[in-house]
Amino acid sequence: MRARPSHLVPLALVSVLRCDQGLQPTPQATSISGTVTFAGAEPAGTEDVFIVAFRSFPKTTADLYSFVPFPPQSLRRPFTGSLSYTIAVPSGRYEWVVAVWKQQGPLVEANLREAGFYHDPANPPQRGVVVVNGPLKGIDFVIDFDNMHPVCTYIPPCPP
Amino acid sequence: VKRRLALPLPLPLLAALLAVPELTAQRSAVVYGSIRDSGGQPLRATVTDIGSGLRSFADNQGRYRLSVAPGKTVVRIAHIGYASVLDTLTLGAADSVERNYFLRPTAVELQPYIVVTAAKRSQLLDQAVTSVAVLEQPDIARRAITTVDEAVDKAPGVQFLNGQVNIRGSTGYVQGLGSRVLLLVDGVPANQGDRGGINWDLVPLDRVERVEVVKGAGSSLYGSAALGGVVNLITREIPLGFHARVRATGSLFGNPPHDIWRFRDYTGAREGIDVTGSYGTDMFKGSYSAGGWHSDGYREQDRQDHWQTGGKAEWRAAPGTVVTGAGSWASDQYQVPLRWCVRGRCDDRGQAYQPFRIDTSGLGSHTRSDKGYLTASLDRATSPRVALHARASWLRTHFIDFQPGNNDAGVANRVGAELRGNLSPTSGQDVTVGAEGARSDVTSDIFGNHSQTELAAYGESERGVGPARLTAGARIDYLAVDGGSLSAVVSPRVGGVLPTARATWRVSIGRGFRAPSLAERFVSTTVSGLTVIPNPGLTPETAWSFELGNATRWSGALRSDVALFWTEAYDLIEPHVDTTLAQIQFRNVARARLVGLDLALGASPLTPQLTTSLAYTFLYSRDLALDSALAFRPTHLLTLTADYHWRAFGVGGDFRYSSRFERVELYPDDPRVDAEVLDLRASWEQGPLAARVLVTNALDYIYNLVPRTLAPVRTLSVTLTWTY
Repeated sequence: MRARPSHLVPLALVSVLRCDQGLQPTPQATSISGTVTFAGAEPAGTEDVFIVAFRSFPKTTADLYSFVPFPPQSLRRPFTGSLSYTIAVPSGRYEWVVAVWKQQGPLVEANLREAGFYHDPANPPQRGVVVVNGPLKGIDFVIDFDNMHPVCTYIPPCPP
Repeated sequence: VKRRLALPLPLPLLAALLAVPELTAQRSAVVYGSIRDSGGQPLRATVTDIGSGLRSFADNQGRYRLSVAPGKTVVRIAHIGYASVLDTLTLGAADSVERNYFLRPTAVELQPYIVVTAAKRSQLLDQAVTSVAVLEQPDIARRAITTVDEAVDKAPGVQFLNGQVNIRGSTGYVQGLGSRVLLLVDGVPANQGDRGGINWDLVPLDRVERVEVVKGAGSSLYGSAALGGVVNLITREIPLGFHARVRATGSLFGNPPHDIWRFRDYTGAREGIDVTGSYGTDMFKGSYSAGGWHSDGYREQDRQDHWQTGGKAEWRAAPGTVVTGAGSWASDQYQVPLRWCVRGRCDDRGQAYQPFRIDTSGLGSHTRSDKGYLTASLDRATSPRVALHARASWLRTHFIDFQPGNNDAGVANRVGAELRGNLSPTSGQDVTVGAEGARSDVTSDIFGNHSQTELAAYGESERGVGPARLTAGARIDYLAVDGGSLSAVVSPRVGGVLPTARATWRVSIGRGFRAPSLAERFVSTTVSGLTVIPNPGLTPETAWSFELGNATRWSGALRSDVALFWTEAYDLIEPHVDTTLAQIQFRNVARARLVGLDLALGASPLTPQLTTSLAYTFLYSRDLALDSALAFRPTHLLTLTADYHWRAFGVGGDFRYSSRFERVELYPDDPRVDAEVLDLRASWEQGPLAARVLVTNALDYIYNLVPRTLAPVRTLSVTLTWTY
């Protein structure tokens, strides 16, 4: 019996102790990047504009919060001209890449607007679906402050 | 200060306990002598009166002195690495007897430990009906660690997640709110009055003599928060005569292992010093300690400053009567690293994440945290069959969180008192009965102004039935918030132990609960744009815990302890996110099951100077409401330890493996790995001097256990201790 533990412990140690070093630098992040072009004047009371991606187009108000990245990444001011953006997202398929405008106040639907989204190049009125396997570039679209839509445009009903 | 400590005790109670007439005429006896190893070298061993639990410590010359009650007394002489000795003495009043002991080296302690937490009284470890892990002071010193949480972290089945303790996966990670483990300091509850969490820096490690970790529901004796277990920090006994101890520690933090992760152009350091002085006579003893440390931290925005002071006084008012006062105060100012930086949230250098850097939105966040406690207790052995204990305590915490554009602050108090009797009405029967009360209050901009009152009564009886010992007991807690109506929670426990030729079987089933903290009920703030709203209607979360265990001595060189455990948890309090309203609220939402196996092996495989141990926990945890694994629980947790001693030198190491969490919250898509952490140590002791070198995370394994929070990197520490 005395010899058994002298074998058990080193064996257990060797079996568990591997040569990796845990987390490693990850330069090739899966991401969506592109250029947004601003149109119209920034509305008074603007708190933030951010770009998020949805794996599935939201069908309920609960789906509205199933976006990445979380927390959302604000765009740099000023909201004029053109601006490069990059959002880190897990690899996968995304049905909606959208810019969200938020006015000052709590994070509730009444304070949010869709300000623009990526369109399908082959069928411009439609949303563009993107598949991310690494850094995905060229996802360009327009943020039009004069043509923003409330949440109820997509998930009715709208309040009277 | 002494007067203030004594005031919370009801005066009639003090008078009654101190005025037992037949005992005032008694005089104690004294046992004294020396303790040496078989080569004649002095040992700083402990000498314990088994009956009363009172202990004394030999000095660096091996000399000891212990006052005991007249009559038949059994003393135990123990030192880590040596076989303990039990000695039966019969002493008359005022006798003074010299006894010299020689201890034989052995890697595995064959005599059982004495524990005080599992049954709220002194008992042999193998008579406890639940699993208890014990860390003795020599073991703590040998590890050369500097904080209490580091000491507890390596106990079998225990894992810390960014300061939050888990016993068999009890708590998971809820960012410091509502610990499902109860912290005791010398038996006094010390969880925060507002958040219910634990300040592990409340007591300096240098004051800790022993740590007992009781696993499984302990509410039948301890009430709220003992849902997953109890950690009891037992502070050092004060030796006779003048004594002093100075401990200085210096550490260097490893730089990031990859240049692209570098975040500063210097090597971070940590330096600290503790000073303790004590003086003791047969009647009065007192100790005082003070210290502090500064740390640059191992990552960006991680500087910390810590100051502490504390003391303990003891008055042996009469034979068998001890009045104790103790207190501690600690002040911390630390930067808050919050979460690490992901792409675009700092100077990311093209990386997906920068684990040593922080999100720029958290730059400038820092906290000032002050906390302290005062306790006064009276222990009175009125006869060989009756021991009484009374105590009062006050715990105070104060914090200010400085955040960009939004500061939060709070002051919380927890005042408590307990009266307990440990009785032996017949031979072979032990009864513990008591009553306990506590009031917590908070004044805070995010928690409001609220209070919670807890009143409880408990009782537990243990008696021999043939070779077995059976235990049954229960506790009833009444809870009231803001002076409202009382709600009751009943926590029963039954169990038993059955010794065989070389093993002991134990079995227990008990109910645990945790009352919602004032923070969980009344928090009102915003987090990442979501509004956190209060829920005054929260109810206590509860759990039934079952355990079947076996402790076996296979040979002089090998022993094992294995336990199967099963916990069914109800109404667990978790943050519930309402995406429609963009609100977070704590609710009784989760129904969970935790099933597993705890295995501990201790062995001396080659020579008595080499000790090894293995601790493994398998955990199957399910959130039954979501039908998924519970977040932040590892399936496998393994700890390997080896130490070798040769004369004044020692070397050793610990290896901890924690499997990758199957599920995490907040950032489930983040990369995560298992944890593989190797700590190495070396020591040298000669007379009053000791030097210890510790390399934690020697493999410089980069990992995180909680979301976007880098776990400590490789750190080299040197500790010098001088003891008088």
